[in-house]
Amino acid sequence: MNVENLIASMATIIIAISAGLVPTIQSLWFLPLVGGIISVVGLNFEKPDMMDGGILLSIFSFLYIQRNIEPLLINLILALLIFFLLFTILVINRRAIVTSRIKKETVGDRWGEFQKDFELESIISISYTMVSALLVASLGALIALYSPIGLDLTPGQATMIILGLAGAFFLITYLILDIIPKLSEKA
Amino acid sequence: MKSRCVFYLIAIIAFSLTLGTLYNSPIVFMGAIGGLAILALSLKGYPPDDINLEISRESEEVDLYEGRTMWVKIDVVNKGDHLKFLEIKDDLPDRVEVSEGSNHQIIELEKGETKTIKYEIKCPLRGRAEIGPIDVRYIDPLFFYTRSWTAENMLELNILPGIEKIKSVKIRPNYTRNWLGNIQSSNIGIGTEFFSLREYLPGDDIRRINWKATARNLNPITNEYEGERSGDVIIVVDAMKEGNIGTRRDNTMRSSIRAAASLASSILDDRNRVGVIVLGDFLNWVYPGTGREQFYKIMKYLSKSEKGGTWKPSDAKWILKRFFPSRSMIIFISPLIHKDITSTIEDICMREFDVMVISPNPLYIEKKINEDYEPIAERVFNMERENLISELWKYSVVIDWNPYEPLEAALDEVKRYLRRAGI
Repeated sequence: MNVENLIASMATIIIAISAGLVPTIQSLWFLPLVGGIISVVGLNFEKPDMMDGGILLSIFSFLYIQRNIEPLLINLILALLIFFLLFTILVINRRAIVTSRIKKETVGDRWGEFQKDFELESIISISYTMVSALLVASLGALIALYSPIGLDLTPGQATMIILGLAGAFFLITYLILDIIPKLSEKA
Repeated sequence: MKSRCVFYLIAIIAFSLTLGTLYNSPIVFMGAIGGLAILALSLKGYPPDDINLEISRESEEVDLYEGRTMWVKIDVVNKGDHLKFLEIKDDLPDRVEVSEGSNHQIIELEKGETKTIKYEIKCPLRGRAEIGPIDVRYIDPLFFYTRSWTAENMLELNILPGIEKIKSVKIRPNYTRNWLGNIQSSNIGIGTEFFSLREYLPGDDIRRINWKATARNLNPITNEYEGERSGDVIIVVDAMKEGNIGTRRDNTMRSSIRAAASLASSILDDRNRVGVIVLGDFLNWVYPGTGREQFYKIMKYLSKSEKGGTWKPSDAKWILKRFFPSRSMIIFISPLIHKDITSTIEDICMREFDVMVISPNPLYIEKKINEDYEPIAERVFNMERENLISELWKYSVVIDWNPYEPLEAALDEVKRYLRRAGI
């Protein structure tokens, strides 16, 4: 096992354990861990489907086992954080499989001329996108969660309003993120 | 094209919405909100509309000797929008292997930027190989969106058989023709070796006058030289299936082809004419010729030759009789496995051909591949082979060659034996 895979495996297991224990400890806390273990096996045996399946199992089981917790601000933020960590590890592990395949095809001590740049750049890009998405999601979640307060709505109507507001927020956020870089490029 | 991650996200969002609605749980909705956020931000990595790449290779056709290495260079020019990550994979045939670097790389290309991808290949097997096409794939940083296409830039490789330089041993046909060469013909002609003296005749080159002899005779005397001529050599390679022993990389045919290429190079260097017949898969041959052009013709012919069962040794007799000059020297390269070999060589000798047999011993190849062999079987094989070789010695010179040792040493040994025996 190479160092990269070892670190990725450890991170997967830690995040999978956290998914069962954070925000609150639940009876089926081990389910995300099972998913994490499957994913680690998939990563080390270079089976992308197995790796993806494991992480998806962790995400689904995390959402399921934490379904009854109270909608407090801290719980929301922690739930979002765990969700993003799980999805980030999925993306990073997929990238690790691609790079390890290229490394295997490389002969000699010299790892491909441009591959160091790719490794660094891809990590930066993934981190940047995920952190931005987490911020946007946190803001969106707050707005969506507190928007129907004070209104006498049925759960179905509240859900519709939540989704509508969240959707509008994301659209605006995306437009801003898309337009600002283009304006700065033109400038 | 969207990758699986996008479908995973959609599945998470759908699952989260369903479960959240069922249990009326705001926490579960965080999955949908998070998923939507990632999906929205990932759209930044969608493949740009203007992808305009110019991909080119340094060369389109290369001749390369078996076992040698060369660098493959691919220039990629981005004439379109900035491409975050571009995965480039140059397809390699199984005859070629990477010896340094990689044929599979991921690069980032700014608008107008040029990058050169290079890797070293090694060609352990002779033959024709095509490198390419080049598979190109745009991938976004999250591996969400991809776009693939193929650049049809091919590199054609003619992998020529390896050559052993034969310097100390000269193979010379006994019968020479009127073309200039390096073989002493025992006749007066154009050459450098002194042959005799004669009286000066009008028209003789003044530089050929022997001044000492002239002073002694008080008559102009001219030097005469021994004519140097060349002969025809035809190399017949036995590439029949049943005689081919060994693996794909190391077999009797490979040894025979290498020997043929080495001999052709050495004999052509001596200004003789060389022709080649390969008894393999195709009915084809190279008619005797001389010079560098002939050398490359032979090398390309040998590089393309494949083992086969279409031809028999007796077919060589017919081709030699019909298409090749008589009284040529025939070098028959064969592992001596086929049962018709002896009768064929006997017949060729009877047609006034001067025959030499070079036999790469298949036992050495077999022993290298398979260490677990029966000693009795080895003894039986050796006895049969020795009998066959002694039978062939009646008609021709036979060189029993260990293919893992230089051919020059085996030739030298036989030449010394012939000199001692006064043959």
